Amino acid sequence: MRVAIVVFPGSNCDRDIFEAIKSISKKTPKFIWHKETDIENFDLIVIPGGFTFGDYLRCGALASNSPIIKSIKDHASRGGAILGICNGFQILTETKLLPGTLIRNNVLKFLCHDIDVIVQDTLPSPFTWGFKPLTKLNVPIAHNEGNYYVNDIELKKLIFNGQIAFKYEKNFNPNGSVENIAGVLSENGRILGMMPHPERSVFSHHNSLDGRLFFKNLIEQLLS
Amino acid sequence: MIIDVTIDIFPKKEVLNPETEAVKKTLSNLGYKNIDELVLSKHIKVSFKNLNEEDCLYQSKLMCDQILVNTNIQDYEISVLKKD
Repeated sequence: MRVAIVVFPGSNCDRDIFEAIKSISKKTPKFIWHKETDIENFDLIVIPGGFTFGDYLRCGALASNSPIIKSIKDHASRGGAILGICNGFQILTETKLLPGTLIRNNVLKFLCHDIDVIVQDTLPSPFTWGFKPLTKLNVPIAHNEGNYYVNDIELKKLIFNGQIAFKYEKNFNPNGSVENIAGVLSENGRILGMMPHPERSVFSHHNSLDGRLFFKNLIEQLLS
Repeated sequence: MIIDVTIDIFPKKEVLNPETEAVKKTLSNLGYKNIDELVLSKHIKVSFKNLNEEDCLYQSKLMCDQILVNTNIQDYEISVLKKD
């Protein structure tokens, strides 16, 4: 199990991901600096949360033009698995590896709290494998731009293809996301972007262990 | 020769912009009741050197499509400001 964690200036969840994956897989992930252009093969590339390049221009816009992005796109074109969390999700939409855009929360506040997300009935994907549809996961969110927007045509495609991985509960949509979306998959199911932070619900000192289950399922599936 | 180009980037009409709505609401609270539409845009000025006007416009468009604008949610307008 070989996991890369991409580090940009302003990434701040890279160590959390490292500790989460190391404790579950018993393997040591590798940090990859965003200026690297030639990377080895990995089973999973993680783009962690943070405020890359100070969120200048738009969240994830500058990071999506970093040198490492070409290697990430090559990995994607080989069917490699990629997980983008929070700012990582924003970067994946800016690179167009995932559809849609994360815009400012409709409440105009930075949101930071635990929330339930519901696993959807998706196309086959290592990221939702092992979960029964409608399973609730309690994981924290921490974002200012988590309001997922796609136009109606794109939304219909996401629904039709089973690309919506996670939704907030209907009456507890924290940020105004279209269709209460908290996470989306690529058309082949190998790329996931999600606003909640599963790496912050992995250890006993966290409020929940649901993120541990998420990573455990993911690692099992990638190893199989 | 220096040519200044301005790029205005604004949210697409169909995308609800919470920031714009908040500013509009506050202006309304301040008594400005006749605002039909309010647009918060990003204004970028680029000064080019040693390029003709056509190439300046072409490069500006490339910049917009490549990084400056997210066309899922934003539109843009490019105009030549001045020539020295």
